[in-house]
Order: sequence, then structure tokens, then C-alpha cells
Amino acid sequence: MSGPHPFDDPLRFERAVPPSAVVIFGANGDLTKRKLLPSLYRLAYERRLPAGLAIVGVSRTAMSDEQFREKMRESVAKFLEDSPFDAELWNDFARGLFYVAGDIADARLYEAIGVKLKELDEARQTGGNALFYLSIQPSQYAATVAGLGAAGLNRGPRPECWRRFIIEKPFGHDEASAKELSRDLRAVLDENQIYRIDHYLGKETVQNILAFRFGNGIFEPLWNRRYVAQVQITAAEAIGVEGRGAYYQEAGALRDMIQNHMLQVMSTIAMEPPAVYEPAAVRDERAKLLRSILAVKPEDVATHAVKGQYGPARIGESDVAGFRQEAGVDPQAQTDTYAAVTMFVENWRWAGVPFYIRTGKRLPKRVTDIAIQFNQAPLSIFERESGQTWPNLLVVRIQPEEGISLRFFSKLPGAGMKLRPVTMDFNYGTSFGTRTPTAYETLLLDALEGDATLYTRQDMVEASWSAVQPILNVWGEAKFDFPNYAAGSWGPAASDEMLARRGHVWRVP
Amino acid sequence: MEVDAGRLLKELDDNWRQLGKGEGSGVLRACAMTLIVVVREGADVQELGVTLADIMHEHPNRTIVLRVGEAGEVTARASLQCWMPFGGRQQICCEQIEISASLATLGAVPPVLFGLMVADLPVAVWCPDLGLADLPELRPVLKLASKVIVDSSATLDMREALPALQSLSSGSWRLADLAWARVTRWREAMAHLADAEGWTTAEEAEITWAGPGVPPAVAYVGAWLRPNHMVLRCGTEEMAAHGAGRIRSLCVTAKGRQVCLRREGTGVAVEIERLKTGMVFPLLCDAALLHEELGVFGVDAVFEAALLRVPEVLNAGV
Repeated sequence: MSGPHPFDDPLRFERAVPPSAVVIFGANGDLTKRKLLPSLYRLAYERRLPAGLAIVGVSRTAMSDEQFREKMRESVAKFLEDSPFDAELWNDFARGLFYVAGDIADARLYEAIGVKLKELDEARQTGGNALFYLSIQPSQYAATVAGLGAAGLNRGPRPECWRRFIIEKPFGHDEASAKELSRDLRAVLDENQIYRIDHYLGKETVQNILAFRFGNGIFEPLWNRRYVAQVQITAAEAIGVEGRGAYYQEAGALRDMIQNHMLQVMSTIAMEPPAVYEPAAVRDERAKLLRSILAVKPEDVATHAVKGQYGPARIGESDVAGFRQEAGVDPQAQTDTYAAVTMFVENWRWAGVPFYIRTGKRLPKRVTDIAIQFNQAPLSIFERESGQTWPNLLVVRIQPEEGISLRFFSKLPGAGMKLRPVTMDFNYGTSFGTRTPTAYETLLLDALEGDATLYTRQDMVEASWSAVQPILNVWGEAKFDFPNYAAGSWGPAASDEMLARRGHVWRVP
Repeated sequence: MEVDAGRLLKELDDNWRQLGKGEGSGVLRACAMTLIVVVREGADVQELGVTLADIMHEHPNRTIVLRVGEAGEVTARASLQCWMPFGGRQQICCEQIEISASLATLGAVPPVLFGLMVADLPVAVWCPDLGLADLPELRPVLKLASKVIVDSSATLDMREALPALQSLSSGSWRLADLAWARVTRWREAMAHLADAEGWTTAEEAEITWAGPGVPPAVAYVGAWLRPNHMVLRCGTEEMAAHGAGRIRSLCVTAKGRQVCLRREGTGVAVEIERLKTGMVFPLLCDAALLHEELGVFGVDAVFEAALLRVPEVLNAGV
């Protein structure tokens, strides 16, 4: 026989996921109900999961398999995004759902999980492979992984079997605790077993940045300090803390958004091209970029970082509470609900180009985008006529509408040379009418396939903490006069002043 | 009336200008290819329109619908097809040109098509009617394309379709058959199961189907699997609704284990020894199949190899 492998058709087939089980700690929690189970169900709908996939929910609440299935059915039907709920498929899918109750501090829980996985290996042919999803408090990661290790569940029953562990941010609350968490995890697991999830990296547009940069020949030559004047990364939320006040006042915007999501986005936009699109190569380049971020000196924090907190305001017909008036929040809280930083990357490509990063709650709208502003044309021969300068701007929109737009000048029709800025738009959703997978679908599938490209590695976590730690240190010692921006505005005036020092202004996304 | 490509393009341009004048028009012009659709004059206009509208969302293109009748001069008209994506702010518009010609006047069409093809983008021809696609009069049109898509699934027996497919596969274009796209999910599901089993070859395969003859889908799956031993069995069931396909079951055995996929309503039951589970296999429409085919440009080595092996499957007997 000759020709291609009989079971292969790379042009048409998706990658196969090996037989496996998924064990979800925190199975009664919000993330499981809203994201994890709907994503796994959707993957089953798309025929992306192995036939015998088993999902084992673990949490403290006593529940039977049937009760767990019923609960998950309600959640999947409610939270499934852009997808039909197929009752017949659900019945098949639900047969693969199981539940184990117990306390993560109790060794008997891990024994019970071990017994269940062994049963499933037989009954559903899961191949002895298991993906553990730790959807629990970060303070419980170390104990849970230690428990799994003590029960021997960190290794499969046979040498060819794999065990992988997904953990959610925050990975520590500062540089020291991130290292400590890593030490605890690494006492039981190898680094390649740990999948640190950052759902921003699973978003199609963030992945599309790589396609845009490294799949095309025309942009990369411009992607450097010679042509780029500044980069602005914005992640704005219109909502407040929405009942998460107690958690949020401990975290703050710098820790909650910039240290992880936004620096990961920055690393994607600014990294060097990897030699190949493989997990190690891509993550190496991301890590290199993060390590190249210049740490802000304590004496420069005041000019390179702005801390903000929203106060009450009337927006439209509604009165909006300030952060300190939110439920569960200390009335004297020093928490940053807004953070803006200026960062510089110390390498040949980006030296001297400011990366302005801002995030905040209760800003005018929900938008996440990256704007790369190019230098002005070397000689503005039309300047006198137009009276205004509009440098070329490339905007990568991450949410709510994913896409890319380029702003450039065009001549106004008619006599004379009057110029007008126009944009050329690529809208991801409308250019490809097909449904795009959610970030959790992408990332769960990647973990099941053993592809860690879009997951964060420990050296990346540490490099990100190194970039923000000096700011956190200074902010931790100072007392701020909060609130310093009104809900519904684009943040504190100090943020505008930070850019004004370099002759720049925040764009309005 | 003489058909002039320049005039048709100007009509399109005027249409774009009209749209652009609208208040806050926000019109997005999208085009990824030229899609020439060749149908007989009597083809269901409404059904074709729905398919083309669907496909436009995923593969924005300039569509040129060529209607081939028994007699008549070459005529043409241009229009824009627009839609507002759900929740979107921008209307998306694509260009459509309709040309009518008879077999006798088909020779006059390629020069017009030359003028109408979008520069620098791929050209695909979709001619669902296999008999029409194989007519010598249509060859000059097919030659304009890098990909020609036919559909043999309307043929009850692959033996009847094979000569046309073989003839069309020798052209300067890449041939594709929607009957092959119809079996992708059967193949993919089996490939994933085989992968999980660690198989590299199928020792034995059994395929059953509904209706008479050996359907193209069965011939393709058999040719793709290349088992050491194959059993093809015509089932007693009635042929199901259009889009459901005719394959009823596909069982493969290797290394002493058997894996089966069995059609059950809009899904398939998956049987691996004692384990039984299910998958969704919804009814397929032409737009979904075209979407798959238009996503494959260039050499489709797996399909080409399977097509070459189809005679072996048919000679193996039923």
C-alpha cells in the first residue's frame, strides 16, 4: 500500500484529543457552571472530544452523580454561548459526568478520586490520562496538588499516561508569593504538567495578533522603534466590582489585570518572531519580551504609574456608587480600581518606545484594544492644508468587536488638497461568519491535546511580577487621596498628565 | 445585446456608490475570491439564493451565476447582496453577477468572465450538476478556475458518476466533490477513534447504507480506509432525508477490537467494545459543504488518492 496514512487528513480534520478524564475541583462554583461545562459540552457538540471522555466534578457539597448531572444540565442550557442545546447529545454527554464529594484537606478525597479514575479507565476507556482543573481559591492550590501527589495522582497508572493541571490566576499576590506557589507546585509536578491559564491568550484576536504579525510580510518591517511612536493598550470595563468588592479590594487593577492579562497581550504584540509555531518557541519569545521590560525605579513610579479609584457619579438616569460605597468594601480602601503605567522594553526593537497600559472599572465603556501609533510622515507637505496631524494608527480590537483597523489619510473629493483621516476595517466576526470558539473552549482543548502555547509559564509569571512589583511597593507605602475619578469618566487627570509629559494623549477607544 | 464586462463592473461600482451615500452607511466591502456557479436554467432559484447568501457570510466573494439553457443569447446583470450581521453596526455587501447562456453560446462566455474575475484572488467554479460539469462546452469556463467543485451525491451508484469524475480530475484545475465533503465527519470521527486505539491501518471494514447501488459516499469512505478486507453491504432501510447521507454504519476492526459508528437520527452512536456514546451529525446543507471545500485550496492529496482508488472498491463487489 502507498499514499497517505489511512486515518489522516490534515487539511480537513481537527487534531484528535486522546482518551482522557477531566477532574474539576470547585465543580459547584461559578466558573464551572458558566464557562467550563458549557465549553466542554460545546466541544462535544463539535465532535472535538474523545468518545469516552469522563468529567469528574469535585467539591465539598454532597451530591450524587445524577444530581450533579441535573445541575450541570441547567447551567449548560443557561450559559451556552451562540450554540443550540441538543437534548440527545446532552444525554450522551451526561453519561460521562461523575461527582466526588469531599474536603480538599482530607486525604480520603484523593483516594476517592483515584478509585473513580481507575473505574473510568476501565468503563470509559480514558487511557489513564487526566486533566485536573483547579477552579478553587489560589490559597488552596498548594494543598490540593500536595494531596493529589500524596495519593499518587500526579502520575498516570502507566508510563505513557499523562497528568496535567490547570490553575487559574492570580499566581501569587506579589513576586515572592508567586515564587513560593511555584515551589509548592514544583515539589509535586513537573513544569510541563502545569497549565497556568490566562483566558485573554485564548481569545481569537489575541491569537490573531500572531497570525497578523508573522503570517504577513508587510507589517513586521514597520514593527519597531524606527516607525512606531507609541503603543497604547486599554482594557476598560463599564461595570464596577459587581459584588466582588471584598476580593477586589485586596487585588486591585494592577494585580488583577495588568500583571497578567495585559502584560501577556503586550508580550504578544511586542515579542520577536519565534522560529516555529510550537509551545516552547512561542513561550520563550513571550518570556524574553517580559524579561526585557524595564523595571520602574521607585523614584520614577510617580511619573510612570497612576493609581485611581472611582467615586460616585450620576450616569444617565442612575446614581452610581463609588468604590468605597460598594458592598464589602472598606470605606477607607486604598484599592486601585484604575491603573495606568508607562513601560519601556529594553531591546533593539523597542528601545525608547513607550507602552502605555491602562485598565479600570467604571470607565465609559467596555473595550479592550491595542493601538500602535506610527511616526508622522517625515515631511508633512499637506500639514498647512489640513491644519491637524493624524498619525497612522493600527488598532487591534480584542473586545467587544474583534478586529483590526488602520487609520490613514485620504484626500477629500473635490478641488484642493484637503485631507481626512479614514479607517480601513477588518472585522473578525463578520469577515468569517463562522462561530468563533470561546477562550475556554480553545484553552481546554489545547490542554487536553498537550499544547501549552497559550498558557503562561512560570518564568513569564515571574517576569510579569518583576515588571509591576516596584510600582506595587511604592503604592503600598503611600496614602492616596481617593476617589480621584468619577464613575463614567476615562480615569484620573494624572493619567492624562503622565502621557502629556511625552507629548502624547490617550486615544478615546 | 452585447454583454460587456466593463459595463457590468460599472453597474457594480454605481451600486457601491449608492450604498456609500447612505447616512452613516458603514458598508463593509468584502471579497475573498471569485465564485462561478454553473447551473441549468431550470435550477431552483430560491434554494440557490439561500445557499449563496449563506456561503457569502463565510467566504465573501464576487459570485457569477452562469445559467445554462437550451437556447438564447448571452445576457447579464449585476447586483449587490447585502446583509447586516446580527448585532453588527456595518452592513456587509458582496457582488453578484448573473449571466444566462445556452450550450451553443457558452463559447462567448469566458471572455466576459475574464473581465469580471476579481484580480489577484482565487477563482472557484461550483457546478453541482455532474452531467453539466462534464459537458465539453463548459470546459473553457472550468479552465478559468483553480478549483472546480461538483457533487456526485445525487447519483445513486458511484459507477455512473465515476467516468465524469475521472474525466474532470484530469483538467488544469483541482477537482473537488461535495460527496467527499459529506463524508468528512464520518472519516474524522473514525480517524479520531482509530487514533485513540493506536491503529495505523484498518484490518477489516464494513459499511452499510440505505438505497440501491453503491453510493459515492460509501465508495469514498472505502477508498479512504483501504482496509485489508472490506465488506460493503446494502441495507434494507429507506433512503433518509436529503442531507442525512446514505451511510448507515461504518465498522472498523483492527488489533482484535472493533469500533462502530451507526447513524441514529441526527447523530451517530459510537460503539467501542462495551462503551456506547453518541455524536451530533446534523443534516448537511450545500452551504456547509461548500464552506468546507472553499476552505481547501491547493492540492487535496487525500481526496485525490481516494478518487484513484474508487475503482478498486467498486470492483471488490457488494
